[in-house]
Amino acid sequence: MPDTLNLESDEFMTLLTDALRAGPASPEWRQAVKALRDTNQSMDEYTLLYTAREHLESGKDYRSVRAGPGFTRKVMAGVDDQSSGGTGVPTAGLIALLAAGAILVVVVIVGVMLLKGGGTSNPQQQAITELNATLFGNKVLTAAFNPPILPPEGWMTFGGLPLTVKVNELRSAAKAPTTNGSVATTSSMGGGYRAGGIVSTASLAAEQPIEIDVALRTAKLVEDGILQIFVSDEPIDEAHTSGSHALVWQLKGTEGRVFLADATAAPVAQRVPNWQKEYPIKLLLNRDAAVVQAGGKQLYAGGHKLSSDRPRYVGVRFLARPGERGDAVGVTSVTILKP
Amino acid sequence: MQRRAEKSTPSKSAAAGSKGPAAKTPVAAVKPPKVAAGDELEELQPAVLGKASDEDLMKRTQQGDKIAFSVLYERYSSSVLSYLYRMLGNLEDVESIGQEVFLRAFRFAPTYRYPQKFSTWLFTITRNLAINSSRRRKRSPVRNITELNLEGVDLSGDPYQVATRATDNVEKQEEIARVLKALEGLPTDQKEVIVLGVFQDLSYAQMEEITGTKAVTLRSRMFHGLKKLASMIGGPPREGRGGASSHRAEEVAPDADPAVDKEV
Repeated sequence: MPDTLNLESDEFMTLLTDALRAGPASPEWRQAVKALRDTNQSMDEYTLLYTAREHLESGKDYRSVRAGPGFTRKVMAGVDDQSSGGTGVPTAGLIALLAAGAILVVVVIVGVMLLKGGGTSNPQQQAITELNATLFGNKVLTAAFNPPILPPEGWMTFGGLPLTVKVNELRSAAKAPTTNGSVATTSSMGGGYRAGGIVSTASLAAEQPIEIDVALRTAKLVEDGILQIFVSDEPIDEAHTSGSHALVWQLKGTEGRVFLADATAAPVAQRVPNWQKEYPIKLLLNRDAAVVQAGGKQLYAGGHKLSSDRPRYVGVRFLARPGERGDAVGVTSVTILKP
Repeated sequence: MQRRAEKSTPSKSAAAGSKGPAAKTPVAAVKPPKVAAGDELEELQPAVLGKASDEDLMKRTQQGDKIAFSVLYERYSSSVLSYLYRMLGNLEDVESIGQEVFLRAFRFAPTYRYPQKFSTWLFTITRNLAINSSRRRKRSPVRNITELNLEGVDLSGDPYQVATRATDNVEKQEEIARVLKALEGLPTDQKEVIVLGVFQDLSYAQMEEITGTKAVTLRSRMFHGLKKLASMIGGPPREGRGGASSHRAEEVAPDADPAVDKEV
């Protein structure tokens, strides 16, 4: 008799185990015995096995037990209780149904939210993705301050706040004058500020994607004075130095923040460190969206709220109230690029 | 996915159960079935229901027919209780789990899917409850059941009573008792396949569905289990009735692998 079974391939062992399950006098039993005889295998090997199975058959009543009246009464009373008290739906089924319902509700809500949000955010998201993927390799205009000629070619100065060029940097005067010069007040800044800066003389079409790279050098930053890098969809001149409709990156004290063209502030601000030899600001724009990075980190990505058809002007503006120091930060270069 | 290598064979236990002593269960005491609105369930007498197949009775149970369920109970109560007694060996557990089996079968009747064999479905419930009970019993082995509501010819579970009824041949009686006693010492997975296949008369395909074990493995367990029982034939003669109890599991199954001795 084999010790190991290969039931996958051995037909006789399948026959044998069928016979052992079915028992003596069953067709499987007779078939197994016949197979043994046909193959001339020794019956002796299997005699004990068959005998054990026959003994089990004889002892089939072993531990045979049945329900007494008390047992049946209890079961049927339980069945009565269940059928009168329940709805027929098992508790587990009910819980599963409720859970499925809850999941369905959540899926529907999420779906609706996605559909609602999709109408406005998708084109903007697409515009941001496009901006980030665009390679801006062609210079449109640059402003370097070496040699110290003001204004650089392609730029014009504006405003009554005096500007200076020192060590290849454009700065506002160390102290804003208390008299003369045109008074520049901005709607967002409140009154009392004087403005001065440079702005591109030529406008850029709203359809034109652009990159504006500005390099700053910071000293010990103080609360006095403000620096703005802006893209305005209104011309900047002596009469309109504030540019009330512009996308702006602004530095006040040590806080850098983005303001959109509708004067709303972007939710995230950034701390600008003191004593930076070169602190980069980058603005990427196309018709609808902008990405603003400061110090290599993204500060804002989204709609800029500029007009989608009016031409745009790029500039740098210093603001200071009379008597304030405005020279803690200097601009070393401004570059406008297009793809 | 498990391989369905074999075809189900009709269970003889159902028919056997209906002829057993449990057929005396007072079915008429059960209230008439509630018939749901719009349901075309034909009201049948217990005598007619008694001829219906298990699966048809289960369909009626799903529609709230308690009489149909009581017929199923009649057919299977003895089979379920005996299975539990053979596997657990404790009558108190058999009674409490046996009740739970039938209450669950009624409560979860909507989860039964026609035409699955009712016996397979019922024994799956029974086996799961038996496994859970064994785990619980390990944690809290003390029970407080004072009254036993079961009946049977060998409630004591003594193999010699069975052997004596089986034959007048004393030598054979000895061997039968020894084999039955040895059954208790088999690894649980081998014992289970013999109890389900031999005593409950379930096919390998049904056992496969109930236990979740491949038929080829079940066949192997059947073969090796019976081989161990065969090794007990012609062993030392018993020294009186209590002598056979000296056959401990280690003696019965010297090559049993403890790793496969799962609790049931």
